[in-house]
Amino acid sequence: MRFEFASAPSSSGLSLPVLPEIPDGPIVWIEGRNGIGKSLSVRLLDLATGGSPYASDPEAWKSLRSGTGVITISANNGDELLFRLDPEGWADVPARQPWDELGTATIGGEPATREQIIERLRVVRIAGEEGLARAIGSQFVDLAAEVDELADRLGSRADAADTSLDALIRLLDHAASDRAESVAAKLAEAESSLQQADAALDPVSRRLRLLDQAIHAADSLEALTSRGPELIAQIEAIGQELHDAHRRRDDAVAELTATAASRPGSTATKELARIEKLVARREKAADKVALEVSQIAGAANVAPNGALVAEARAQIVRDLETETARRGDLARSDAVRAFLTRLLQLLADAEELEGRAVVLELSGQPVTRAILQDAAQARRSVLDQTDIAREVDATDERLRYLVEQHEALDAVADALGRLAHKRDMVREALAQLDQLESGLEGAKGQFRAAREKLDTAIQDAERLTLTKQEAERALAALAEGATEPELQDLVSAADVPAEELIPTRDALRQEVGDLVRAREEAQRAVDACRLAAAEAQAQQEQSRDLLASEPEWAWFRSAVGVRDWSAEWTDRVRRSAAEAREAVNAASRNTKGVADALRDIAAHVSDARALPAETPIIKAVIAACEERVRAEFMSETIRAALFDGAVVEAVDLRNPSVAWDEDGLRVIRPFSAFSSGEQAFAYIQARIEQVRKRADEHLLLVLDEFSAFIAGDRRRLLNRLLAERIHARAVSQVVLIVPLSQDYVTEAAEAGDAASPVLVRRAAEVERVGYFTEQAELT
Amino acid sequence: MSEAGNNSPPNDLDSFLEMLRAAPGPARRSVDVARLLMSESTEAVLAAIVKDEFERQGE
Repeated sequence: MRFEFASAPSSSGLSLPVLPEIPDGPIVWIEGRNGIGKSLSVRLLDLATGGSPYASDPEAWKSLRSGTGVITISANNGDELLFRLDPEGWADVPARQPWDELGTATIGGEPATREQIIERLRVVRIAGEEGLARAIGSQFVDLAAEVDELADRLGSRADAADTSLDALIRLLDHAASDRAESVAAKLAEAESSLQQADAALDPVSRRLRLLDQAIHAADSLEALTSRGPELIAQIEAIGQELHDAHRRRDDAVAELTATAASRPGSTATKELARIEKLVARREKAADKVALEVSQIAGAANVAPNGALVAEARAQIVRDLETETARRGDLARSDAVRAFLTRLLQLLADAEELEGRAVVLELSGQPVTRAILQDAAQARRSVLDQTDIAREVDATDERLRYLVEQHEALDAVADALGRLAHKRDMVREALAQLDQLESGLEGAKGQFRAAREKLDTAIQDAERLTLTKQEAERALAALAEGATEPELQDLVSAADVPAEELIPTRDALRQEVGDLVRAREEAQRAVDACRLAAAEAQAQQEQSRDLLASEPEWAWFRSAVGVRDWSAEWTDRVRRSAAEAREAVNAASRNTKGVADALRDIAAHVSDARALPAETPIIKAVIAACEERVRAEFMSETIRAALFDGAVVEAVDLRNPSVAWDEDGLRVIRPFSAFSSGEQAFAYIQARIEQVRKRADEHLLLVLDEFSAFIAGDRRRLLNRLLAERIHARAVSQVVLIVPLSQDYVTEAAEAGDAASPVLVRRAAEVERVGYFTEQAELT
Repeated sequence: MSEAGNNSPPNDLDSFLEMLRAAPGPARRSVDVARLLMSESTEAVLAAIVKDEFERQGE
């Protein structure tokens, strides 16, 4: 396969040198000056084909991403593989750089995935400039990069599994009977607390009512004692004044009659006598109705005032409307409950609807399935917990009271109307008196004066009647208060001295307030528990249905079946799901942990950095790495070169060393002690022997910085080994990279015409591009 | 000397995971679960793991 490289300057004008070409051929020898991009080109090819050549060299990665613009690489072997690497935007550290964000890759002009690229071309780079310890450490870094990639791919799958298991655990929590039992136990506890609150509140409330009654009785008695005589005297005085007013009225009528009679032959005399009787009769009728109004208004507990009565009637009408509407709601409760039950069933059956799906609009606002379901559930729960029969009785009782009150107020209004009519009649009779004035020749002034006296007397009588009624009502109200024996009974029942009634009552009010708040809190807790119990019940049924029949949970049924939902079975399934979830998360977590541990071990082996505290995963990774290195050391080539053919007994990576048996003696030697060129070369040979090409891939083996291995017999041995690997189809192509071994340009110039054609060609190429390439012999 | 890139034998990661699985500690279970997750559908993996745990819980 032939490779071509090109780099463009970055936006800041920087660029890194790359080899223009690596020619096709089974074993390609590249010899060139330092700094012309030999190793960089190979690393870039490795990176483009999915490798991690910078995993152990973050500094070189930084130089690369900031030191060049777009790099293009083409690999041609029939279909052209073309890579365009764009360092702009690469991650800060190589471990965080996704392959598919390096740039673009195409095969035959079509975009290609990493997997498609790896199937076609794979780069194996072995550098020959490091010691044994660093070589072993580098393996672990490379392995860490592979495990990182595995962890990345695993992460999304583990997340999906975790999400499913989380959903399963929540469904199992809802489906379990112990949750319903727990909610029921909480409800029982809350109801017990409510009963206790009621039990605590009742006696204190009763005692408070008793004290209120006693204080009210005491106040009434005191008022009766202090205001009663005053009111009685006032009523008597008003009665006297009323008597005087009536007398003045009678006197005024007599005066009017006398005035008319003093005119002989006057026709008004007879008429005046008639009207006098008429006024007196109508006055009496009005007084009678006024007394009736007073009695009816007293019974209705309202002042005999038209405006106040109208206001009280309007309030009664509003209360009647409210209670009537509530009575209607109560009458429809059974139908509403049936409707809500059906609605909830329909919503539960509508499997295809998500909770956020809008199912209807109310006043232009969308209502989701979840909101409708919650609201219906809450409403039904309230109805379930309401004693409808008791509420109906209470509402009917309030309606009866309101109707009676309304009728009483109607009666008061009717009596007030009749009183007004009677007074209109009186005023009509008085108007007739005024008409007589025209017939009283010569006595008009006298008549008018008598008429005014009559008006004043009538007005005084009406005013005094009302005032007397008011005083009588006040006295009656006082008299309705408790009697002294009743007060004594109340004080005795309250078991509090009379002088302590008010402070005791105030203290009890505080206590009752606290108890009422505690009871309200207990009631809220009961309501919340009832709601939770209803929800738990609904969720339990829904969860069991889902797990038993939904296609989404078919895997669950195939794993454990769905049985009787007994507490024991459900608990076992829940524990299994929780353990499975932990296993999935641990697999993802531990895979990342393995990659980290590999890097820590590499740093410890290569650079003698301290190992972190040993977790179980680090211990396992150390054990696996030790076994891996021991197996590697057991290859025939390495055993012969490093251990004189002995069996390697153990590798210790905590103290980077190897132990083997030598004539019955256990020999332990640190990696750093294997420093001879022969030993290192043997290790390299073993590594090359381990490389195996897959069926259809082009495996490019790059031996970088191999100057130490081309001296003496080693180049011949290496050539033989490489040719053998090519023949065995273990590798497709080998590239050997070495620095310039001599000054070809100067030598060719000095030799002049005596220079060999090979020297001339090498010198010309070195002068032109800094390196030359040759095909090594396949011996 | 070092070997870099995707340069290991094709089954290198698998053979390492196998060695890790043989080590004492929690790695065995995690390797098994990770391999399941990478080779089967999510549903099949969940069924296998939950069934395994369910049987273990019943022991």
